Amino acid sequence: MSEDAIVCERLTKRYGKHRGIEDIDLRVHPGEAFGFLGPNGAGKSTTIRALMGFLRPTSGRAEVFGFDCWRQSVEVAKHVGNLPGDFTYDEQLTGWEVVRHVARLRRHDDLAFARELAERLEADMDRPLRHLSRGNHQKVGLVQAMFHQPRLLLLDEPTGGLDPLMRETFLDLVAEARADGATVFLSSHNLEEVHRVCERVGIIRDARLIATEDIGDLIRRALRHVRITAAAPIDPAPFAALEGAQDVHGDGTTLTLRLAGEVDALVKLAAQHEIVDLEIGRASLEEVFLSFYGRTENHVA
Amino acid sequence: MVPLAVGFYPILAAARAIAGAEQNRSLDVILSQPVPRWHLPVATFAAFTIGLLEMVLLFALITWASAVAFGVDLDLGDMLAGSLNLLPLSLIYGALALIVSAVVRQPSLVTGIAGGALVLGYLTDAVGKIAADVDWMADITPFRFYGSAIENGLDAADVGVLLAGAVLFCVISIPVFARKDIRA
Repeated sequence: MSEDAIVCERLTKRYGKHRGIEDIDLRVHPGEAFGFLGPNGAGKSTTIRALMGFLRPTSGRAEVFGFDCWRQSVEVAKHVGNLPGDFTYDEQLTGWEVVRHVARLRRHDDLAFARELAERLEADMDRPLRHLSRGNHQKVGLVQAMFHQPRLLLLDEPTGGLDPLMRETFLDLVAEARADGATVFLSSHNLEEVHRVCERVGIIRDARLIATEDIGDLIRRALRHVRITAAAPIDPAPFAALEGAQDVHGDGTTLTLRLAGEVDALVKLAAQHEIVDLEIGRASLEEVFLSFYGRTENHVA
Repeated sequence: MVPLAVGFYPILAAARAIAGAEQNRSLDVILSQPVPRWHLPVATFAAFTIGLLEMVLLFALITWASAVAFGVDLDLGDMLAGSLNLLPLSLIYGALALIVSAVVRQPSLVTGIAGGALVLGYLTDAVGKIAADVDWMADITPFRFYGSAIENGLDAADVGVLLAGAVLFCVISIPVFARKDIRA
């Protein structure tokens, strides 16, 4: 049996016109937080559904804690708390009824942690799901995924619909689960969120895992939007000469550019001027793909 | 017409419990728990059997009470036999809906296919009984085993065939559902 929390070996799922996933090779170690990044439709949910045994692989295999995800899905489910994307359940039921139902299926009687989760997430657990906002649906989903303190949390776009404050609470809860030894597999298209939680990320695009990276490396090498406002007119030429600088535009005292790579040289160069304002914005995930993986596109296709 | 009306209940129940749960994605939550897949068709079969039993017993009691209230001579035992006779026939179509539910994911399609089979069976049987030159038509549907229990009592052999058929369909639905891709 494998020691890893998740193992995918050439995992492929094709169905009908949908592309699914192709040849996914992946290992997530116990206790690790792994981010699964990619645009919508890239294959994130398909991978998670294969891990849960919802989908039979066309070829290849997937294991969770050494159990085959398709043939031993009941064993897998014992160890996993799964939050499906856009969580929903019988809309007549209240949040507590959902949690009690799940608890019964799991034969897990202790709802103490469920109460703590509901309180911290400020989840509205007493009204039927049909009356709840998307964010409140998601909170019920998080409670039902986490209350039994599973060894592995599979979270598919978990913060959709959550307000920023609750997003922070959620990220704290995930950090606490990890401190207790849980493994986290977080699918997202939000780089910032993944950065907060995960050490490693897998990047999936067009059904293929195109890279697994240390999140620190990814962020360091990712594209940034830079806007510098100086007290006096600023010469763009030295900035254009910086490694990784693109689209450098100087307009008197204002200079904008995009930077792929380290910011250290940029900051030191900027420091030679009297700076009025400096903005460094993180690129969107799409831009990360374009700047960082665009060059691999030919190999991927 | 009563077999038609009652027969739709387990079809709708099966369509909702499996294809409906897949379509509205509550199946994702159920199958994320350590529940073997075979539990779903079997539990659905058990649930609509109990529901049908309650329904036909209630139907028998209300009909009998109404008859008595209006001074009609109706034996409660005959009425119960007539109502219970609806059960095995309805179970066949409910179990057929389980198989369809294990293949398709639209509850309306399940209701259409299994409900269509029910209506077709009823009509084929009716035509076969009315038109002598096509009387073979009355022998080719499950309605062949649905006698007139209210007059003749329950026929154990007919009931047995229908129940065996229903159980067989339910058993067939288990591996079919176990292999199903549960799509988002």
